[in-house]
Amino acid sequence: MVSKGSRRLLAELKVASLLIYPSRPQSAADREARDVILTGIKQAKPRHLQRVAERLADLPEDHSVRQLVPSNAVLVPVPRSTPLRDGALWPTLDIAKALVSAGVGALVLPLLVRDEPVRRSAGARSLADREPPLRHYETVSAVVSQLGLEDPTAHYVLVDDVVTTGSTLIACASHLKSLAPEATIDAFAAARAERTHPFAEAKEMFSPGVQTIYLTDDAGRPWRE
Amino acid sequence: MFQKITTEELLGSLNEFEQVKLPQELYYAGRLILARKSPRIAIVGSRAASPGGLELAAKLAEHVVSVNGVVVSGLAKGIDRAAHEGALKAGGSTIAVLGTPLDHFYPAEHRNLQERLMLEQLVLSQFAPGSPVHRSNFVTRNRTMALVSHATVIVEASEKSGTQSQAWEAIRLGRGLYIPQALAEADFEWPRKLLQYGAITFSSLDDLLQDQLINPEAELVW
Repeated sequence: MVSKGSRRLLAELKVASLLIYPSRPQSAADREARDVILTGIKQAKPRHLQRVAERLADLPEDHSVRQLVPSNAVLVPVPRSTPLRDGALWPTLDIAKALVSAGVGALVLPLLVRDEPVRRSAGARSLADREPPLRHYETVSAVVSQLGLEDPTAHYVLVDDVVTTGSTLIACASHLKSLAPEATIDAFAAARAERTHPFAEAKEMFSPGVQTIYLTDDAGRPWRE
Repeated sequence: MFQKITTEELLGSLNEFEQVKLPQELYYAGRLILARKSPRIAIVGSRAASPGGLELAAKLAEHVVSVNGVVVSGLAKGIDRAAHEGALKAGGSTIAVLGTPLDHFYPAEHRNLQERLMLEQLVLSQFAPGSPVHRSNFVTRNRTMALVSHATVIVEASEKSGTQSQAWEAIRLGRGLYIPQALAEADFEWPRKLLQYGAITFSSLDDLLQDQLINPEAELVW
């Protein structure tokens, strides 16, 4: 991970994910896969989250995904696109809790909050509709100061439901980096969206892998490969 | 004389947020299967609705029917009635969630509609037959309606509208909540607050059709 000059945002971030789904479905199998994400994962349905956690825990310890999300990781849920009302659903917190219950990650620390609403990524129809990383960065803040972290050298893993462009994740990771400059910071998303990724059967959506999100300058847009 | 079912039996596995204000049981009359079809879209709003609001409610209901969805609403005058009638006219399915017991007809002039829905469609109530009707029932019912629905569309609402309670519950549950642009720009506070917490605005039916109102139950397929 590199942070250059006066940049506030990180230049790259590794993200592990377990599922893949087509954000522009073409077939019935595609739609089925998308619905698993939109209504199973994003609505934090217990059996869906449990399945994600179990399948992740079942990967061998030396799998690239497990190396990014090891048993001793501190899991940090990614904030929603709007501030959170007391007692309201926060899907990424539930995903993080499910992971810890399955032995992936040691504890969950909800360190980041959204202060101002931004447009939802899920509703975006084009890149122009998406909020850039800087906007995500400026509307998210940390709930603790740097000194408030018990272990500033821990392995922090941001937990998200879906990674699309990676704008939210790289913004959140940048906050963590300022909080804990010595820490290792990675990310996990239950699913990654690919514009078109045709399936013959929806069960093909299980596709654990690690990618890198790159951001060349603070005002730019990230890409993922 | 009315049957009942536990809410979990009806709606399936629920997360901890869905369990918070869960009615343990629901009384029902009609075709229970409708509560298991998806998407179930609540169309709600003012009793004193404008002609444009009534028309939008009916068109929206028609759209929900056209994607094999189920309309959900209360049984009040105005938007509720227009939504049910829109669904019926389109030959589709609709669910009424009552703030009164099933053996009570409120308002009285909707008795025919309620009886028709009990026979042909589905009517749900968390209030036991014969139990007294309190004002607070309707707020409680609004939360239940949010729980039963995959998304809620407010067609029209006033400053003191009871619809607010359903809107906040949809937000709490992380369900889609759609409010008209005109309401977001109106001279009262609550719609703006809703936008801060994730409500989505629309200015025409077209806007809604493009969004992900279609929200079927997902099976574990992988």
